[in-house]
Amino acid sequence: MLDDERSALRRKYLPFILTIVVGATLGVWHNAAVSRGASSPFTNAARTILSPAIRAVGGVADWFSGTGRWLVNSRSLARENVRLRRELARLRAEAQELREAAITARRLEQEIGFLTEPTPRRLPARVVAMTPAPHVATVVIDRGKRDGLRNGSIVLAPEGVLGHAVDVAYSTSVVLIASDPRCALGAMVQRSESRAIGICRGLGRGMLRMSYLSRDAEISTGDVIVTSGLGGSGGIYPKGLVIGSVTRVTDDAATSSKVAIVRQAASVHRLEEVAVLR
Amino acid sequence: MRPGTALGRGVVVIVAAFIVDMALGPRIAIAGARPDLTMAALVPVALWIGDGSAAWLGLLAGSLLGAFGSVGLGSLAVSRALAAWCTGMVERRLFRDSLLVASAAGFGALAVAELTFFAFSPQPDAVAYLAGALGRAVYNMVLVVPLTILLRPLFRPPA
Repeated sequence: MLDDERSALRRKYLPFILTIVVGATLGVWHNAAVSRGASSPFTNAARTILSPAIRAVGGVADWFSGTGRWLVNSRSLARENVRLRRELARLRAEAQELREAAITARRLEQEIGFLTEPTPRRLPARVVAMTPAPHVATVVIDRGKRDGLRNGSIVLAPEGVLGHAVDVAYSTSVVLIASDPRCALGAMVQRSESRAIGICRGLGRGMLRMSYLSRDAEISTGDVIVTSGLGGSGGIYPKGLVIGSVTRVTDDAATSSKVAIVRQAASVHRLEEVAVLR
Repeated sequence: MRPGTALGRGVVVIVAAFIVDMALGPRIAIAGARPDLTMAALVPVALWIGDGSAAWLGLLAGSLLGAFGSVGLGSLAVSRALAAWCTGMVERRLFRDSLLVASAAGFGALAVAELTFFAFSPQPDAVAYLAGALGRAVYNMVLVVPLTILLRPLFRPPA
């Protein structure tokens, strides 16, 4: 009788206990691999096998939403097309001017003996998935070790810095978004009259907190914040990449310094293509 | 239906739900609340297949989420396994084939999963995290209803 009860209890709780043990083991295995700069075979296999299916489903959804939008808004899309063509022509001219200015700046730097860093190569990548896990802001991209990525590789969205790779598998990588609380990057005000330097740390939901600004730092709402090239967490971000713009500036009484709240320029929600710096 | 067949079908449903979740999740967010489609699919399946098999499916759901999120894989796997096991336990105590029970279980399962996860991996902004979890739980509570209707023929074929 007692044996029957024991056996029933075992049957009831054993699967649960086993799943807890297996789950914890998977977690420890994964963390150990990531801390070595590698990826655990389980995560590697899961991402490699499922990524093509996720991309295919996303592609079908894009086609349907694109076709639906075209059917509903075909007139306004034609008008928008004309407007965008004009804007493209203007931006092309502006890009040409900037290219000329960059060439001049590089030549002058060489003439006065500046050590210029080589421009990093940009490798295009596609966003496979945006992680639904609520506690962490990450996206998965379709580039990995086989493309030369490593932990810390910098990833850019069209609008600016997206984040850096934290878990690089053979053909995919997980990118930690710059606005995640685990991410910090050296930052400075782009405006030439200011150039105030600080550290941007993620606050979540697309916002960052720029701290370690001196009390007399010239910083105001609307200022564009770029990377300073002075360190941070994960990878070292090259100087001059757009992080976002200032939405609020306050005084931090505890440290006698200024604090700015920055909205990340890269929009994570409608992200399709990104570039990886190599 | 044999338990092995039900578990096999459960695995297919969870993997399919995860793929759709990853592909469409951001598109179906409402006011910043993105549903957890994998958990929403897991709930009716757990109610039909019982606690033991449900725990394994929960482990699968959490591990997949952890593999793509990369941070907190172990906590995600354990929290989802616990939530699925608790949902499977409901099957022993309540009338299993009820949309009302499934909907309430949808809310409860996500709440259990998020609170367990939070206990294992405390988050820096607790209020924002818990508010987000509440939004997702409400969204899942609604989503579970159509998913239950959709998946019922797979697990409870008409006699």
